[in-house]
Amino acid sequence: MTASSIGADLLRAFSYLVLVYFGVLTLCYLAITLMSAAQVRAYFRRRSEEALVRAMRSPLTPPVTICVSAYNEAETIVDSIRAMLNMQYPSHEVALTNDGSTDATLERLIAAFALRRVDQPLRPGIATEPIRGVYRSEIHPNLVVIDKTNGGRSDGLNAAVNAATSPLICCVDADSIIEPDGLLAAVRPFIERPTTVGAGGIIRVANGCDIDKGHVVQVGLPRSALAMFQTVEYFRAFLAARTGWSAINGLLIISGAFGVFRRSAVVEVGGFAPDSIGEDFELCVRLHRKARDERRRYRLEFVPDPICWTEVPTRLRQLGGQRNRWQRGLVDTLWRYRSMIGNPRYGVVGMLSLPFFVAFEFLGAFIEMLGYATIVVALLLGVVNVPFALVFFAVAVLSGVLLSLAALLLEDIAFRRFERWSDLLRLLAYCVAENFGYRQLMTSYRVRGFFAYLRGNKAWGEIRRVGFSEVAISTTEARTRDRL
Amino acid sequence: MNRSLLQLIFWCSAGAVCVALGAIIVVRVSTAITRWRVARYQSVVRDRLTAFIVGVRDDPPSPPRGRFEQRVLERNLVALLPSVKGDAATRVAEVFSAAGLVEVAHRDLDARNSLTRIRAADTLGALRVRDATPWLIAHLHHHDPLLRLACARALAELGAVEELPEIMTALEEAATDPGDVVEVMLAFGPRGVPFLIEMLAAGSLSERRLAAVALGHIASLHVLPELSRVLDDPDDELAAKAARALGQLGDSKATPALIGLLRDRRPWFVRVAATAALGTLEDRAAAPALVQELDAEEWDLRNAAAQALVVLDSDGLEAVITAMDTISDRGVAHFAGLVDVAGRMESIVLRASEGDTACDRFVRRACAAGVHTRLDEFAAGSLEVGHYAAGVLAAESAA
Repeated sequence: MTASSIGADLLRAFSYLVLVYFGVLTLCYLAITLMSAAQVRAYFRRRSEEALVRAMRSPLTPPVTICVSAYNEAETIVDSIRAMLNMQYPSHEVALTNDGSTDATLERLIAAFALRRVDQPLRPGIATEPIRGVYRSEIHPNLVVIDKTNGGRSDGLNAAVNAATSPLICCVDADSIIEPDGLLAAVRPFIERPTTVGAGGIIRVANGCDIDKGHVVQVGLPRSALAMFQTVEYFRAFLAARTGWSAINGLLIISGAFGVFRRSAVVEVGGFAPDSIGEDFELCVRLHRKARDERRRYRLEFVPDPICWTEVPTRLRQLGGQRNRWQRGLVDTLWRYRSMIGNPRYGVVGMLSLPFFVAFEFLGAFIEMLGYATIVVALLLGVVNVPFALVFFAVAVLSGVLLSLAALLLEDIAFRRFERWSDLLRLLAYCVAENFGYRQLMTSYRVRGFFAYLRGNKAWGEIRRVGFSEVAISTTEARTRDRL
Repeated sequence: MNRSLLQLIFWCSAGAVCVALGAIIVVRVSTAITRWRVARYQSVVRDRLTAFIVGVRDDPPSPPRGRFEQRVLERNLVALLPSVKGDAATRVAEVFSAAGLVEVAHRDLDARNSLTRIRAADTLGALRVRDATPWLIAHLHHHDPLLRLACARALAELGAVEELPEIMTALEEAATDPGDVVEVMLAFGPRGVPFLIEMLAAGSLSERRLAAVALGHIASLHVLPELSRVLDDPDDELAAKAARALGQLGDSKATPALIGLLRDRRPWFVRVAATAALGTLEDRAAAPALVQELDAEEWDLRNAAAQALVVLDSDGLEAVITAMDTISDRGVAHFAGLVDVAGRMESIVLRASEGDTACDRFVRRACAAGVHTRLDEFAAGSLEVGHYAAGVLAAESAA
């Protein structure tokens, strides 16, 4: 047997291996989608308009503090906070941290809400960067603003958590738009099951929607192709995947854009980790670990309801930076909690969720990239024939399309937010089109993210937001992670 | 891997994609047809229904033809329920009954679709269909826990107090979440109090906790002695829940018992509950006990005490000033900080500048404890109070 034939055999074997990997990955995701469908069905058995009316009137609905960390959000912060204050909820307050903004964020807040500096004592629960001042609104008694030295999003959220007076906290991004009844829906699991420590909801792409004063008044699809691709991705990630994981209490991420937590649980684990890149993912894994270590009954829930809208990047560079950061956050958290992976002590999380994340979310990018490269090399060397290469590529594409269609089907049955047939056709087109270029590009960003992590890059990068009101707003989302 | 296997994989994938695509289209088309039918029927019935319910017309809309129209009318009526009262609610029930929807809901309790079953129970309860009581009782032990819960809620709406033991058994059997059980109890309102008192006295530990929470929310003053007794229970969580419930009753007769609980040196969360309850009662007799808690180690307890004292307004302030020499800086700062948040520090500084010695003592002590934002503001001005504030700040910095 010559060296070249061994090489050829290896190439062929690897090609088959990648094909099998794609098959297993698709089957796993389909299984999760099926679990999601069951979960969505169960959810709708409980969640009705009447149930929300009951929750609104019920004295059992606990107060919630909405925690926000803002860094250089002068253009949008007033509208965002106004929308949060006007949410449909029996008793809520907003705790906003101005995380050392260098623009006019604090000044605009002071002017818009008649803020007055006060000597309010803050709970010393979680250590943060120094607090420069606490402000209360003379118009809205349920608004508190903490002005502090810059320390990053996690640090800002921790300061808001310290200022929170409610048993539940809702952590949101400063530019998130929450559905008017979103908070009520997200709090239901806490009322129904006192063991619930965290709950997240579906995040939707706000690009293309008509937004007025911090409220989505008309749902629409984005005009930008890049945002359309992300719309399809968000269907898959939230509705199809997270809902399924929640069904077996294996949910590993409650998005930083919108997540409700039991305050005592967050304080107990030390709050958001300021040195983490993916702080939302990291916090959830830490909550799992703490509860499992202490053998407590607990739940991390996902509410399959469209709760929060967020603007996604419309420029490739920003999107690349975001995906790069997500991948670094994933690797960072998996590395921190490597002792949980495959450890039966951690139940579903240790034996299913984390291994799944390692096998498909982390390694997936490498295997996919290597798979494409191997097939091309094998084809050029004549190790595999053209029909095999075509079938390989077709299976890769079809598996991607299938997962997207399954998520779209679930969305269509459960929510039908995009009612027009033209919207459906566009979504279907993007379900297919994303597999030709976009998917491969995202895979490359993920691979680059891993190497960036190895180089010790912990920066957040920069997002130039277009702004909900279509005004070009230059909001740097540096949020000073670079200094961490 | 042979060629036929590859082909099989390809065709399986392609087939699955086609099935998903087909399903999307089927769902879309069927929903579009349903929506069109709903819109068509609603355009006919909605105005007449509204006119009848608000009393503009005396003739109800003509009965629905067929199952589909019955469903649409039923959803319309149920959606109207939260916003109608009195005669209008009676008229809604009248339309419901005339349209044969009571029988439909009865049948739906046994429907195959669980959502239909739950909706039927909810509807019968919301419309207060008296005849439905035996049907709902019959379904209390259904294998679907959510239907049990819906039936329990409906029976509560119907005021079937005598069925409470049965309801509790059914919910317990189904391991219903505690929050849901309390919601059912609350739906019974004051009618359920005797049963809850019994449960508080003789139920299991979890039942007693639930009963304490429910009794607090129902806020019937008759239960004050029973809840007060529970404060001595060795279970800390039960004692805390009972304390909060006593606060919700709003009767200052509970003050001595709550002060007793505060002095019992129970775990901090029990004392926080007692302190918060005292704050809710707004009884000045509790002020000295609350002042003592300003020095508590736990932030939450200090905070609850400071908040309760702030609610007492001048009585709280007086109590703090009287005991000021015995309170730590931390306690004074916490109280003064909350006084500031409540917007009262300004007037206290003004009174101090006008010669009120008690206020002056408080302002100086608060300043020493680090609460001086109002003084800083006043000191920047040139009024009399500004001179006073500057003087206090200068004295403090010299000290």
